[in-house]
Amino acid sequence: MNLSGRTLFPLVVLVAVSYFLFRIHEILLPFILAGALAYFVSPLVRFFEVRGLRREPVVILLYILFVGTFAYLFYKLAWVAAFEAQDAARNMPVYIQEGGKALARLRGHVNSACFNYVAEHGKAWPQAILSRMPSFALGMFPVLEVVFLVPFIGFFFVREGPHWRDAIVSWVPSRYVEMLLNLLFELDNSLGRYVRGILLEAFCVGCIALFGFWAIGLGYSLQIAVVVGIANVIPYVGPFVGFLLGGGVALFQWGSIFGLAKVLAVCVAVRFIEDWFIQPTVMQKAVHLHPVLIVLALMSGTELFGFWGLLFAVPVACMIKVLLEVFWPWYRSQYGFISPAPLPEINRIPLV
Amino acid sequence: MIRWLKNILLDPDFNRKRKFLQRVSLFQGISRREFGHLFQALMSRAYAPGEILFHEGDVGRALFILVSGHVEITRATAKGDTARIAVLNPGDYFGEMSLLDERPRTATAAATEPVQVYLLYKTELEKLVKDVPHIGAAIMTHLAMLLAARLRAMTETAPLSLASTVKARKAI
Repeated sequence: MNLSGRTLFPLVVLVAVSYFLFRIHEILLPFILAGALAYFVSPLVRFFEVRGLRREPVVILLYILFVGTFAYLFYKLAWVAAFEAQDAARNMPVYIQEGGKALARLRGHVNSACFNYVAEHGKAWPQAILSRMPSFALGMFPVLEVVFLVPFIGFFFVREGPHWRDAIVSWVPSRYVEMLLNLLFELDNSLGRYVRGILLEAFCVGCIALFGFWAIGLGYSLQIAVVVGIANVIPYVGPFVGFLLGGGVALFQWGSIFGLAKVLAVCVAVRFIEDWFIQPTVMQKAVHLHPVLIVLALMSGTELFGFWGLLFAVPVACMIKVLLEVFWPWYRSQYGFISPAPLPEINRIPLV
Repeated sequence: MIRWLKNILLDPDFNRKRKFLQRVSLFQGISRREFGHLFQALMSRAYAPGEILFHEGDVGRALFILVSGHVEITRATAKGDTARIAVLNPGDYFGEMSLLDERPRTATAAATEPVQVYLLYKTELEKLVKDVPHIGAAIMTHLAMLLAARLRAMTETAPLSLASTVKARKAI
């Protein structure tokens, strides 16, 4: 293979862009989330576009609708959270009493050294949590920044998306147009399906968890279900987080191992329903990754970029898989390693 | 008021594109209401005079629909020269064989003047076949009829040589 200047130039640009993105990866989060939002909204925009409506007013109207709905839901959730916080404050003495009883019952079953450590340090935990509240509140500012930035950037992504695609296609040399189109369409299809699938899956898992927790009479079901749904964006994590939070609440609410077992049963059921019914339906057209590859991607993402690496490990792994699936056949056919075979019937069936 | 709303909401390019594509024979089986889905599958690109749209021997996966300008189709001869096969006009389409079988292009296409084309890529055609089967089927049927017509024309003009080719293939 002869690497000429024309071949090297795109490679150099690609490497330079990758290095630049790596250097600024800490500020890329709002852009990535805005891209995910654009993928989520684009089928709706397309629904109106195929009927002859202009993209811009459709995007503006949809945004007004989304922001209005989101603000209303946020207001309602804040109202419920405030109400339940009041309720929690009223019931706190009972919960502490029940929790104390449960711990006393556990004393005989749990390793005494471990139990003594928890008993000794546990008293200091509320104080420690309260002392960290100011820094936690300050830490929320980037989250608020993201909450306002993402819809803002996402608006331009949705409005200008096809123009950017056309601009990229116009910019590349004509010889690579078809390869680039292949790459863009495959990435668009698989990532779009993945993003929409994962959001729909998170919503379904949150709803099922809410129903399950509500059925067993667990307190703060709505809040825990919301956290379960959000955590489910990371594969396998949602029901696990649900068990941790729900188990803690169950221990204080009922003060028995039986309550813990009920929460565990709900979380296991959620996991099975997700695996057997939701995933095969919602994610059937998305890129398929082997579970071992998912775990490897999650660990690599965490190792390289911490929490955000964990969150975006799977979509990035999907992108890498699509890139390989597009580039490898192109590379092989381009350099004559393989020649696509004609239909075998051509030699058997006469021309009639 | 209604006119003002129409001006704001309706895409002025929509009807222009639809009128043009309705004239393309490939899309004749598609109803007026379905053209919106087709627009989503097409990508527009401009080429400068002399620019090569694709080379003979390159593996291709897209069909080109000529919107404006002229495109020259040439093929390499056994002597090493290039022979002009055709000059295409707006409304013509080309590159359909590689769209179907993903095999190397059998000719080179070059823009003779500023050219605007729509590209229908294989992935998008497959998506149309799945999502809007009526459009996918109409395009596929037309392509199949075109290839059958070409084969029929070839057998009528050179029946003996083709028959011997089939016999030779059977012998292999």
